[in-house]
Amino acid sequence: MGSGLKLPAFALRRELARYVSEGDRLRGNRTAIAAFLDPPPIDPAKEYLSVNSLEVETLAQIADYYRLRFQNGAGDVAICSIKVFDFNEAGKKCGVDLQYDRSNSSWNFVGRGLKREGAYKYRPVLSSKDHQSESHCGVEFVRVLDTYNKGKLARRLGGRRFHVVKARRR
Amino acid sequence: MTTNYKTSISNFDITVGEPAVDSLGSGRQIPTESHSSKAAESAITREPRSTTSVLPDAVAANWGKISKARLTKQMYGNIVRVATQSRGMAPAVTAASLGNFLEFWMRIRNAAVEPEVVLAPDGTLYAEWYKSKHQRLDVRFTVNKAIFGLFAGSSILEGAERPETVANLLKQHAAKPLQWAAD
Repeated sequence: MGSGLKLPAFALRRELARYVSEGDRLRGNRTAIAAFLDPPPIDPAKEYLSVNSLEVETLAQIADYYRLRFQNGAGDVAICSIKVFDFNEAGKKCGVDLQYDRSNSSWNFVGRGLKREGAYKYRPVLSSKDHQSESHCGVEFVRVLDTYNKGKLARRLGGRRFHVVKARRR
Repeated sequence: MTTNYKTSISNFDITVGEPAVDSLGSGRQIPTESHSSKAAESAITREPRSTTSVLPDAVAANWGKISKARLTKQMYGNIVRVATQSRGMAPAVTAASLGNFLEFWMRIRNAAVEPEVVLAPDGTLYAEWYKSKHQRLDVRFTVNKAIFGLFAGSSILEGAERPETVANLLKQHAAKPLQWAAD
Protein backbone atom coordinates (compact mmCIF):
# COMPACT_ATOMS: atom_id res chain seq x y z
CA MET A 1 0.00 0.00 0.00
CA GLY A 2 1.18 3.55 -0.68
CA SER A 3 2.17 5.68 2.26
CA GLY A 4 -0.43 8.12 3.56
CA LEU A 5 -3.41 6.15 2.32
CA LYS A 6 -6.35 6.12 4.68
CA LEU A 7 -7.63 2.59 5.09
CA PRO A 8 -11.38 2.04 5.32
CA ALA A 9 -12.67 0.17 8.35
CA PHE A 10 -16.06 -0.61 6.76
CA ALA A 11 -17.87 0.51 9.89
CA LEU A 12 -21.61 -0.05 9.76
CA ARG A 13 -22.57 3.59 9.49
CA ARG A 14 -20.02 4.36 6.77
CA GLU A 15 -21.12 4.52 3.18
CA LEU A 16 -19.98 2.85 0.02
CA ALA A 17 -20.57 4.62 -3.29
CA ARG A 18 -21.66 3.07 -6.55
CA TYR A 19 -21.59 4.74 -9.96
CA VAL A 20 -24.99 5.17 -11.60
CA SER A 21 -24.77 5.23 -15.38
CA GLU A 22 -27.17 7.31 -17.43
CA GLY A 23 -29.21 4.26 -18.35
CA ASP A 24 -29.69 3.40 -14.67
CA ARG A 25 -31.08 6.78 -13.65
CA LEU A 26 -34.82 6.48 -13.20
CA ARG A 27 -37.45 9.14 -12.73
CA GLY A 28 -37.22 10.98 -9.45
CA ASN A 29 -33.44 10.48 -9.27
CA ARG A 30 -33.87 6.83 -8.32
CA THR A 31 -31.23 4.21 -8.94
CA ALA A 32 -32.18 1.24 -11.10
CA ILE A 33 -31.66 -2.24 -9.71
CA ALA A 34 -29.34 -3.01 -12.61
CA ALA A 35 -26.88 -0.42 -11.26
CA PHE A 36 -25.92 -2.97 -8.60
CA LEU A 37 -25.08 -5.73 -11.04
CA ASP A 38 -21.71 -6.16 -12.68
CA PRO A 39 -21.05 -8.11 -15.89
CA PRO A 40 -20.49 -11.84 -15.45
CA PRO A 41 -16.89 -12.34 -14.24
CA ILE A 42 -14.12 -14.06 -16.16
CA ASP A 43 -13.06 -15.83 -12.95
CA PRO A 44 -15.97 -16.33 -10.53
CA ALA A 45 -13.54 -17.04 -7.68
CA LYS A 46 -12.30 -13.46 -7.89
CA GLU A 47 -15.64 -11.76 -8.35
CA TYR A 48 -16.64 -8.72 -6.31
CA LEU A 49 -18.93 -5.72 -6.64
CA SER A 50 -16.97 -2.52 -7.25
CA VAL A 51 -17.68 0.33 -4.86
CA ASN A 52 -15.82 3.31 -3.45
CA SER A 53 -15.47 4.07 0.23
CA LEU A 54 -16.56 7.45 1.54
CA GLU A 55 -14.27 6.81 4.50
CA VAL A 56 -11.31 7.34 2.18
CA GLU A 57 -12.43 9.96 -0.33
CA THR A 58 -15.17 12.56 -0.56
CA LEU A 59 -18.13 12.32 -2.89
CA ALA A 60 -16.54 14.94 -5.16
CA GLN A 61 -13.26 13.02 -5.38
CA ILE A 62 -15.08 9.80 -6.15
CA ALA A 63 -17.16 11.63 -8.75
CA ASP A 64 -13.98 12.85 -10.44
CA TYR A 65 -12.81 9.26 -10.74
CA TYR A 66 -16.15 8.09 -12.12
CA ARG A 67 -16.21 10.99 -14.58
CA LEU A 68 -12.81 10.04 -15.95
CA ARG A 69 -13.44 6.32 -15.84
CA PHE A 70 -16.93 6.15 -17.34
CA GLN A 71 -17.76 9.51 -18.93
CA ASN A 72 -14.63 10.59 -20.82
CA GLY A 73 -14.02 13.26 -18.24
CA ALA A 74 -17.21 15.19 -18.90
CA GLY A 75 -20.65 15.74 -17.45
CA ASP A 76 -22.48 15.45 -14.17
CA VAL A 77 -21.97 12.22 -12.26
CA ALA A 78 -24.68 10.25 -10.45
CA ILE A 79 -23.64 8.33 -7.35
CA CYS A 80 -25.69 6.11 -5.06
CA SER A 81 -24.20 5.80 -1.57
CA ILE A 82 -25.32 3.07 0.79
CA LYS A 83 -24.31 2.26 4.34
CA VAL A 84 -22.28 -0.85 5.06
CA PHE A 85 -25.10 -1.80 7.42
CA ASP A 86 -27.52 -1.90 4.47
CA PHE A 87 -25.12 -3.96 2.37
CA ASN A 88 -24.86 -6.41 5.26
CA GLU A 89 -28.62 -6.63 5.73
CA ALA A 90 -29.17 -7.17 2.03
CA GLY A 91 -26.50 -9.86 1.97
CA LYS A 92 -27.98 -11.69 4.92
CA LYS A 93 -31.41 -11.70 3.30
CA CYS A 94 -29.84 -13.35 0.27
CA GLY A 95 -28.39 -16.13 2.38
CA VAL A 96 -24.85 -14.85 2.95
CA ASP A 97 -23.43 -15.99 6.29
CA LEU A 98 -21.99 -12.67 7.44
CA GLN A 99 -20.34 -12.35 10.82
CA TYR A 100 -18.32 -9.75 12.64
CA ASP A 101 -14.84 -10.74 13.75
CA ARG A 102 -14.01 -8.69 16.83
CA SER A 103 -10.40 -9.83 16.84
CA ASN A 104 -9.60 -7.85 13.74
CA SER A 105 -12.70 -5.61 13.60
CA SER A 106 -13.91 -6.82 10.26
CA TRP A 107 -16.89 -8.43 8.60
CA ASN A 108 -16.40 -11.83 7.02
CA PHE A 109 -18.44 -14.42 5.19
CA VAL A 110 -18.25 -18.09 4.35
CA GLY A 111 -16.70 -18.32 0.90
CA ARG A 112 -16.99 -21.00 -1.74
CA GLY A 113 -14.31 -23.14 -0.12
CA LEU A 114 -16.22 -22.95 3.18
CA LYS A 115 -13.42 -20.73 4.52
CA ARG A 116 -14.09 -17.37 6.10
CA GLU A 117 -13.14 -14.45 3.87
CA GLY A 118 -13.33 -10.69 4.27
CA ALA A 119 -16.75 -9.40 3.26
CA TYR A 120 -15.27 -6.08 2.13
CA LYS A 121 -11.83 -5.55 0.72
CA TYR A 122 -9.80 -2.44 0.11
CA ARG A 123 -8.76 -2.45 -3.55
CA PRO A 124 -7.18 0.91 -4.40
CA VAL A 125 -6.46 1.52 -8.05
CA LEU A 126 -3.02 3.10 -7.98
CA SER A 127 -1.14 1.60 -10.88
CA SER A 128 -3.29 2.87 -13.70
CA LYS A 129 -1.99 6.06 -15.26
CA ASP A 130 -5.41 7.32 -16.24
CA HIS A 131 -7.87 6.06 -13.66
CA GLN A 132 -6.52 6.16 -10.13
CA SER A 133 -8.84 5.66 -7.21
CA GLU A 134 -7.64 5.59 -3.63
CA SER A 135 -11.08 4.67 -2.34
CA HIS A 136 -11.89 1.73 -4.59
CA CYS A 137 -13.13 -1.32 -2.68
CA GLY A 138 -14.94 -4.57 -3.30
CA VAL A 139 -18.08 -6.06 -1.81
CA GLU A 140 -16.61 -9.56 -1.80
CA PHE A 141 -19.53 -11.65 -0.62
CA VAL A 142 -21.35 -11.35 -3.94
CA ARG A 143 -19.24 -14.19 -5.28
CA VAL A 144 -21.13 -16.77 -3.25
CA LEU A 145 -24.43 -15.63 -4.75
CA ASP A 146 -25.97 -17.27 -7.79
CA THR A 147 -27.62 -15.16 -10.49
CA TYR A 148 -30.99 -15.22 -8.78
CA ASN A 149 -29.60 -14.09 -5.44
CA LYS A 150 -27.41 -11.44 -7.03
CA GLY A 151 -30.68 -10.05 -8.37
CA LYS A 152 -32.21 -10.22 -4.90
CA LEU A 153 -29.26 -8.31 -3.49
CA ALA A 154 -29.46 -5.68 -6.23
CA ARG A 155 -33.20 -5.34 -5.63
CA ARG A 156 -32.58 -4.49 -1.99
CA LEU A 157 -29.88 -1.99 -2.81
CA GLY A 158 -31.67 -0.36 -5.73
CA GLY A 159 -34.51 2.13 -5.68
CA ARG A 160 -32.57 4.63 -3.58
CA ARG A 161 -32.05 8.18 -4.73
CA PHE A 162 -28.69 9.04 -6.20
CA HIS A 163 -26.65 12.18 -5.68
CA VAL A 164 -25.76 14.29 -8.67
CA VAL A 165 -22.27 15.76 -8.55
CA LYS A 166 -22.03 18.57 -11.04
CA ALA A 167 -19.05 18.91 -13.31
CA ARG A 168 -16.87 21.79 -12.17
CA ARG A 169 -16.80 24.80 -14.46
CA ARG A 170 -13.35 25.63 -15.72
CA MET B 1 -55.06 8.89 -41.85
CA THR B 2 -51.45 9.79 -41.47
CA THR B 3 -49.90 11.18 -38.33
CA ASN B 4 -46.27 12.03 -38.27
CA TYR B 5 -44.48 11.02 -35.11
CA LYS B 6 -40.88 11.89 -34.69
CA THR B 7 -39.01 10.34 -31.84
CA SER B 8 -35.74 11.56 -30.52
CA ILE B 9 -34.32 8.15 -31.32
CA SER B 10 -35.15 7.71 -34.95
CA ASN B 11 -36.51 9.60 -37.86
CA PHE B 12 -39.43 7.43 -38.76
CA ASP B 13 -42.78 8.59 -39.97
CA ILE B 14 -45.52 6.65 -38.27
CA THR B 15 -48.56 6.00 -40.40
CA VAL B 16 -51.72 4.61 -38.92
CA GLY B 17 -54.27 2.90 -41.11
CA GLU B 18 -52.00 2.36 -44.04
CA PRO B 19 -49.91 -0.70 -44.62
CA ALA B 20 -46.40 -0.03 -43.40
CA VAL B 21 -43.28 -1.27 -45.03
CA ASP B 22 -40.75 -3.33 -43.18
CA SER B 23 -38.09 -0.90 -42.04
CA LEU B 24 -35.37 -3.26 -43.19
CA GLY B 25 -36.45 -2.45 -46.69
CA SER B 26 -37.66 -5.90 -47.63
CA GLY B 27 -40.95 -4.47 -48.85
CA ARG B 28 -42.92 -6.80 -46.57
CA GLN B 29 -46.06 -5.16 -45.22
CA ILE B 30 -46.52 -5.05 -41.47
CA PRO B 31 -50.05 -5.65 -40.13
CA THR B 32 -51.58 -2.50 -38.67
CA GLU B 33 -53.70 -2.12 -35.58
CA SER B 34 -57.33 -1.01 -35.50
CA HIS B 35 -58.27 2.53 -36.40
CA SER B 36 -59.68 3.55 -33.01
CA SER B 37 -58.40 6.82 -31.59
CA LYS B 38 -56.64 4.98 -28.76
CA ALA B 39 -54.92 2.74 -31.24
CA ALA B 40 -54.03 5.76 -33.29
CA GLU B 41 -52.20 7.17 -30.31
CA SER B 42 -50.42 4.04 -29.37
CA ALA B 43 -50.05 1.81 -32.37
CA ILE B 44 -46.80 2.09 -34.20
CA THR B 45 -46.63 1.06 -37.82
CA ARG B 46 -43.62 2.55 -39.35
CA GLU B 47 -42.32 3.61 -42.69
CA PRO B 48 -38.67 4.53 -42.73
CA ARG B 49 -37.94 8.05 -43.93
CA SER B 50 -34.27 7.35 -44.39
CA THR B 51 -32.82 4.20 -45.85
CA THR B 52 -29.66 4.81 -43.84
CA SER B 53 -31.52 4.34 -40.48
CA VAL B 54 -30.62 1.00 -38.94
CA LEU B 55 -32.67 -0.72 -36.29
CA PRO B 56 -30.86 -2.35 -33.35
CA ASP B 57 -30.63 -6.10 -33.86
CA ALA B 58 -32.93 -6.96 -30.96
CA VAL B 59 -35.59 -4.57 -32.23
CA ALA B 60 -35.36 -5.87 -35.79
CA ALA B 61 -35.61 -9.45 -34.55
CA ASN B 62 -38.78 -8.62 -32.63
CA TRP B 63 -40.41 -6.36 -35.15
CA GLY B 64 -43.50 -8.53 -35.42
CA LYS B 65 -44.09 -8.36 -31.68
CA ILE B 66 -43.40 -4.64 -31.56
CA SER B 67 -46.02 -4.01 -34.21
CA LYS B 68 -48.57 -5.95 -32.15
CA ALA B 69 -47.60 -4.59 -28.75
CA ARG B 70 -49.31 -1.20 -29.12
CA LEU B 71 -46.45 0.70 -27.56
CA THR B 72 -46.61 4.42 -27.12
CA LYS B 73 -43.88 6.33 -28.89
CA GLN B 74 -42.26 7.04 -25.54
CA MET B 75 -42.14 3.35 -24.69
CA TYR B 76 -40.86 2.47 -28.14
CA GLY B 77 -38.18 5.13 -27.79
CA ASN B 78 -37.14 3.70 -24.42
CA ILE B 79 -36.87 0.23 -25.91
CA VAL B 80 -34.74 1.46 -28.79
CA ARG B 81 -32.58 3.38 -26.33
CA VAL B 82 -32.02 0.23 -24.27
CA ALA B 83 -31.44 -1.83 -27.39
CA THR B 84 -28.71 0.53 -28.58
CA GLN B 85 -27.15 0.92 -25.16
CA SER B 86 -24.07 -0.97 -24.18
CA ARG B 87 -22.41 -1.17 -20.79
CA GLY B 88 -18.73 -1.18 -21.64
CA MET B 89 -17.85 -4.68 -22.75
CA ALA B 90 -21.26 -6.04 -21.81
CA PRO B 91 -23.70 -6.93 -24.59
CA ALA B 92 -26.67 -4.88 -25.73
CA VAL B 93 -30.11 -6.27 -24.96
CA THR B 94 -30.64 -9.77 -26.33
CA ALA B 95 -33.42 -10.48 -28.80
CA ALA B 96 -34.74 -13.22 -26.52
CA SER B 97 -35.04 -10.94 -23.53
CA LEU B 98 -36.74 -8.20 -25.51
CA GLY B 99 -39.07 -10.73 -27.08
CA ASN B 100 -40.09 -12.10 -23.70
CA PHE B 101 -40.71 -8.61 -22.40
CA LEU B 102 -42.92 -7.78 -25.38
CA GLU B 103 -44.95 -10.94 -24.93
CA PHE B 104 -45.29 -10.16 -21.24
CA TRP B 105 -46.36 -6.62 -22.06
CA MET B 106 -49.02 -7.83 -24.46
CA ARG B 107 -50.49 -9.97 -21.65
CA ILE B 108 -50.62 -7.15 -19.12
CA ARG B 109 -51.01 -3.94 -21.12
CA ASN B 110 -54.75 -3.59 -20.47
CA ALA B 111 -54.06 -3.63 -16.73
CA ALA B 112 -50.76 -1.79 -16.55
CA VAL B 113 -48.97 1.50 -16.90
CA GLU B 114 -45.77 1.50 -18.88
CA PRO B 115 -42.72 0.63 -16.79
CA GLU B 116 -39.25 2.09 -16.91
CA VAL B 117 -36.93 -0.24 -18.79
CA VAL B 118 -33.24 -0.73 -18.08
CA LEU B 119 -30.48 -2.92 -19.49
CA ALA B 120 -28.75 -5.36 -17.14
CA PRO B 121 -25.04 -6.11 -17.69
CA ASP B 122 -25.79 -9.57 -19.10
CA GLY B 123 -28.04 -8.21 -21.84
CA THR B 124 -31.34 -8.94 -20.14
CA LEU B 125 -34.02 -6.32 -19.83
CA TYR B 126 -35.44 -5.05 -16.54
CA ALA B 127 -38.85 -3.44 -16.23
CA GLU B 128 -39.52 -1.44 -13.05
CA TRP B 129 -42.72 -0.02 -11.60
CA TYR B 130 -42.46 2.33 -8.63
CA LYS B 131 -44.97 4.04 -6.41
CA SER B 132 -43.05 4.59 -3.18
CA LYS B 133 -40.07 3.28 -1.24
CA HIS B 134 -42.14 0.31 -0.04
CA GLN B 135 -44.12 -0.21 -3.23
CA ARG B 136 -41.82 -1.39 -5.98
CA LEU B 137 -42.00 -4.06 -8.64
CA ASP B 138 -39.27 -5.27 -10.95
CA VAL B 139 -39.33 -7.98 -13.59
CA ARG B 140 -36.24 -9.22 -15.40
CA PHE B 141 -36.60 -11.15 -18.65
CA THR B 142 -34.17 -14.00 -19.26
CA VAL B 143 -34.37 -16.59 -22.02
CA ASN B 144 -36.95 -18.80 -20.33
CA LYS B 145 -38.06 -17.03 -17.19
CA ALA B 146 -39.34 -13.78 -15.77
CA ILE B 147 -37.52 -13.10 -12.50
CA PHE B 148 -39.59 -10.76 -10.39
CA GLY B 149 -39.58 -8.98 -7.06
CA LEU B 150 -42.55 -7.24 -5.53
CA PHE B 151 -42.26 -5.04 -2.43
CA ALA B 152 -45.81 -4.22 -1.36
CA GLY B 153 -45.76 -2.50 1.99
CA SER B 154 -44.50 -5.00 4.53
CA SER B 155 -44.78 -8.00 2.23
CA ILE B 156 -42.18 -9.22 -0.23
CA LEU B 157 -42.86 -11.62 -3.09
CA GLU B 158 -39.98 -12.85 -5.22
CA GLY B 159 -39.65 -15.61 -7.72
CA ALA B 160 -38.75 -16.85 -11.17
CA GLU B 161 -41.46 -18.30 -13.36
CA ARG B 162 -42.59 -18.42 -16.94
CA PRO B 163 -43.53 -14.91 -18.11
CA GLU B 164 -47.20 -15.83 -18.59
CA THR B 165 -47.41 -17.13 -15.02
CA VAL B 166 -45.83 -13.97 -13.64
CA ALA B 167 -48.16 -11.84 -15.76
CA ASN B 168 -51.24 -13.57 -14.36
CA LEU B 169 -49.93 -13.40 -10.81
CA LEU B 170 -49.23 -9.68 -10.99
CA LYS B 171 -52.53 -8.86 -12.71
CA GLN B 172 -54.40 -10.61 -9.93
CA HIS B 173 -52.35 -9.23 -7.04
CA ALA B 174 -54.44 -7.16 -4.65
CA ALA B 175 -51.94 -4.30 -4.57
CA LYS B 176 -52.27 -3.74 -8.34
CA PRO B 177 -48.50 -3.28 -8.75
CA LEU B 178 -48.69 -3.02 -12.53
CA GLN B 179 -50.48 0.28 -12.09
CA TRP B 180 -47.88 1.81 -9.85
CA ALA B 181 -46.43 5.09 -10.98
CA ALA B 182 -44.58 7.71 -8.96
CA ASP B 183 -46.73 10.73 -8.18
